[in-house]
Amino acid sequence: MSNDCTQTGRILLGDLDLPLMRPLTIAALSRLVVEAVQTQTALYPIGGQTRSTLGRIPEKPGTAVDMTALDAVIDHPVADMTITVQAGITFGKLARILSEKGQRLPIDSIDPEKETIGGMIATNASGPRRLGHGTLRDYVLGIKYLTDGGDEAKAGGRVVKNVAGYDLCKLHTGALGTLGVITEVTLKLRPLNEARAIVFLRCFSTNLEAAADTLHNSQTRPVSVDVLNARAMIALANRGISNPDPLHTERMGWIVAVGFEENSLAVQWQVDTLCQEVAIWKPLVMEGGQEESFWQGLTSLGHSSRELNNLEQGSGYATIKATARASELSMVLTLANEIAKTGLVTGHLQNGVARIHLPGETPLENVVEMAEKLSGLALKRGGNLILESGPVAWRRSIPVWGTPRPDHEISRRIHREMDPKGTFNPGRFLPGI
Amino acid sequence: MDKTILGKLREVVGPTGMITNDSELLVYECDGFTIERNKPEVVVFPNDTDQVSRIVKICHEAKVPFLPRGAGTSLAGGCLPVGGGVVISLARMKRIWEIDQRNRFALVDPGLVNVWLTNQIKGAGWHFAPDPSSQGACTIGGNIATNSGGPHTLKYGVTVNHVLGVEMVLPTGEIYTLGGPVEDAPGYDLTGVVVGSEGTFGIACRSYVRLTRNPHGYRTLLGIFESVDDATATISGIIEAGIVPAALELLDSLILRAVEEAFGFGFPLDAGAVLIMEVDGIEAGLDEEALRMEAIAKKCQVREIRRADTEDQRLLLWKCRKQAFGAVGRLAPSLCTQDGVVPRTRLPEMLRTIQEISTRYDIRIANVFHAGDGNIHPILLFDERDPEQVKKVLDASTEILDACLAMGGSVTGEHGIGVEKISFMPKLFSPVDLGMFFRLRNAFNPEGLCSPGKMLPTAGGCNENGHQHGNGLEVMVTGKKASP
Ligand SMILES: Cc1cc2nc3c(=O)[nH]c(=O)nc-3n(C[C@H](O)[C@H](O)[C@H](O)COP(=O)(O)OP(=O)(O)OC[C@H]3O[C@@H](n4cnc5c(N)ncnc54)[C@H](O)[C@@H]3O)c2cc1C
Repeated sequence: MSNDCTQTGRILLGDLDLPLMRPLTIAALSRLVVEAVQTQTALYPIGGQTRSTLGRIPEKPGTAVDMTALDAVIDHPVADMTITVQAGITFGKLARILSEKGQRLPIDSIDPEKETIGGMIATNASGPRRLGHGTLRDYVLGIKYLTDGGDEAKAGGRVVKNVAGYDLCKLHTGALGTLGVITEVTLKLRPLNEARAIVFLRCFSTNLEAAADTLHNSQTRPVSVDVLNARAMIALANRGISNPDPLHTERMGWIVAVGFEENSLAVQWQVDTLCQEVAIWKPLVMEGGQEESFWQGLTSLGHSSRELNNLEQGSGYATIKATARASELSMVLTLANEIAKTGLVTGHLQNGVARIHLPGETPLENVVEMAEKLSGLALKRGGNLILESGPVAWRRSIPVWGTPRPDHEISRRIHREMDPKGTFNPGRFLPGI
Repeated sequence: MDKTILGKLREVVGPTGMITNDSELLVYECDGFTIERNKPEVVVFPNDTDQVSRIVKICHEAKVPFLPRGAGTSLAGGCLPVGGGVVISLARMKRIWEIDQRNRFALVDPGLVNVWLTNQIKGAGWHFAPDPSSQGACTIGGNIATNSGGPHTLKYGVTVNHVLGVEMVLPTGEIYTLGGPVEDAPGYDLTGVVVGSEGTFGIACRSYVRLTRNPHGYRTLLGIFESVDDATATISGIIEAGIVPAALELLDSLILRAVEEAFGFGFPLDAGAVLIMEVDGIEAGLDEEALRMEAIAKKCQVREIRRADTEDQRLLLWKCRKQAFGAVGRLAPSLCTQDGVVPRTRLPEMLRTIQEISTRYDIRIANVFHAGDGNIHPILLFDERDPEQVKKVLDASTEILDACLAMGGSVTGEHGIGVEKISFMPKLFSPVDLGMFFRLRNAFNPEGLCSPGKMLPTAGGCNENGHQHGNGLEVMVTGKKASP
């Protein structure tokens, strides 16, 4: 061990009790890779530990690597609207650097002060505003990563448009770190918007589909359209995010939150227009500061590190994600709300993504039964079911990455080529990866 | 080619589904990059995915190289049949299988011409966002293979941001659907990595593409500047001010003259540069954004600002822009359209460099490009019949692209590497980077039979067949090149 890399403790990943190493330089990280490959052990990069309960249970012994010391800003050519940073930088630190210049990375973070950019890329992080701004995949212009040879390789570049070479940026985004250790990324930036607002619609369970149709035909162009059941709304209220209508939530219906972000005139026009279009759902408008915390709260629902830490002890929330065609999502949400008696149910209505946050103490048999029912419906609607976080026992009993798709075979072929020895985060992603 | 292979192919596509005679094959010996040519042995025209798969299986078993081809508008030699073999033309596969407005996607064939999709849905208020200048001719399969951009990709993103899934025939003939209309499919982002793979991972058949709502309104301004520098300063100013324009396109004086001659739009012929500035979206707020852009242009000594006030004017303006390549063909017997990228802030410097290279080589260079993205398209004017000029154009192009790299940019923003720019790959990427590209390609195309000699260099700069690669030049010969 040398002074640019020290062991800072141990960490539990599933059942694996791993030494946690903290490299201060890329060279030190590279040595860890080389050693892992030579000894046929595994390397588990760790960022903010906000998603360590995502994925299957790893079994290969090895070393956990704390990436948070590698958090430098390499280059920020402000006028070019790009930034190059090391992967260990937290979203919060990055956001502060950017906002000083009137810029941002328009991705919702589950825990800005903990979550690292590398971890967000590995999981293709997104939140409510993915409808308007896309997911992280749309912002990664260039990437550097350590290969199984311990060498730093790159793909993409630092300019906003570039088609030279294969787009490994896309491949690494959402690959859960199984193709190499991401060390550096160049991101495309957006200007900070002047104005934002959220319009809340209140509808009874039976009206959700009608509301979805109305929103689909709206003249407005929201950046987010989210559905929350009463329990989810109350959970947000408990975190100090004001509840637009406590009375309604007690009657157990749905809240639909429609968000806008643009110049102030466009936001104002859209709020007014939408309020007319959805008048029967008694719209309420949130403006003037609370919107950010609403979006952030919604993103972190069931995901905050506090809750995750409690998960292994049986409290906190575990999250199941069900996907379907957007037009069919109300059906999935309705079923979820019926069967998940104690669950918080939310959904990105126009992206076809639903989430059920269940208390960690929910009995396993109930969870398995729920997952089967939901998965059946999701599959019929072209989607799938993914366990985004959960206690070890759940992750052993529910297919974490859903019902296998034929194209998983291609993912495995790619993995065999890029990480033949199974060094990087083995056992956590798709079966066989 | 072995008669039995031809016989097997005929069984799949029938006698009217293939071309084997020499004169007809001529069309398929190159694409918009005409400096290198090679005749395929046969061109087949499958009707559906199943036929594509059967064709590929035949090639795979016989170890014959094969290559997908859309409309052949590639400017980088992507359609050059290196090593001969079979060209699989997707031209007959042009159905729209499904349009699902509610879920914002369409399922379309690879040979569908880009603009046809938009024409089909525009009445309902939708469009397909990638709008390459060649959109009247190029195919969606070709857009996917090259990850095409266009003027409006500044705001809306390039092709990869609008493709949800692709039905692929792998080089073994296996059929896989990657991704699909439902978001967040578990597994690697296979769609993302297949887009832009230039036909080297297999053949994209049907694809799920994203539909985009039409904006409520546009404000299209034409800034007339004394100098290119003032125009590029305006671009930086607009971006820095936090405006996200739909498009920022620059035309220099040489292009202006050609376009004016062709379309009589009324461009001032003595201007140093014209900048098309467009914002779009919700009506409310558009006037203010347009005024802000105008104020920035004024600060940068704009001589005059005109507005495209009617939809007709706006469309004419865009027609001028999109057909600028065609118009410039009047100025010289041969054209070489380059494609490079620099960080936006380096544009003034880059354009001065191009000017200097033009003077030094005594080669006229016209510029019309996606300025907001820093994506330059210098067009070198010359006469292909004069070998000395050809050499000058080659060297000047190489210098321009090297300058892009020196400024931290790239040698291609949207046209691709193809065969043309393979020699630049080792300048852009280290052996380690390239090694990983090879590994990835092996996962899809281990035998290299599908689109051989494209994208990646091989040791010594030669491919498996000893074929010498291009050297940073693409030549569009006026008259020989059908411009869309
Ligand atoms: C006048 C002019 C203007 C242009 N303007 C632009 C522009 O603004 N932006 C831009 O990005 N490009 C532009 N281009 C370049 C070109 O039009 C694009 O690259 C276009 O996407 C190519 O489509 P195509 O159908 O002609 O493909 P082709 O030229 O036939 O093929 C291009 C490449 O894709 C592969 N390919 C084709 N179909 C498939 C498939 N189904 N599956 C797998 N691989 C396939 C081919 O093997 C080849 O490598 C322009 C070209 C011209 C001539």
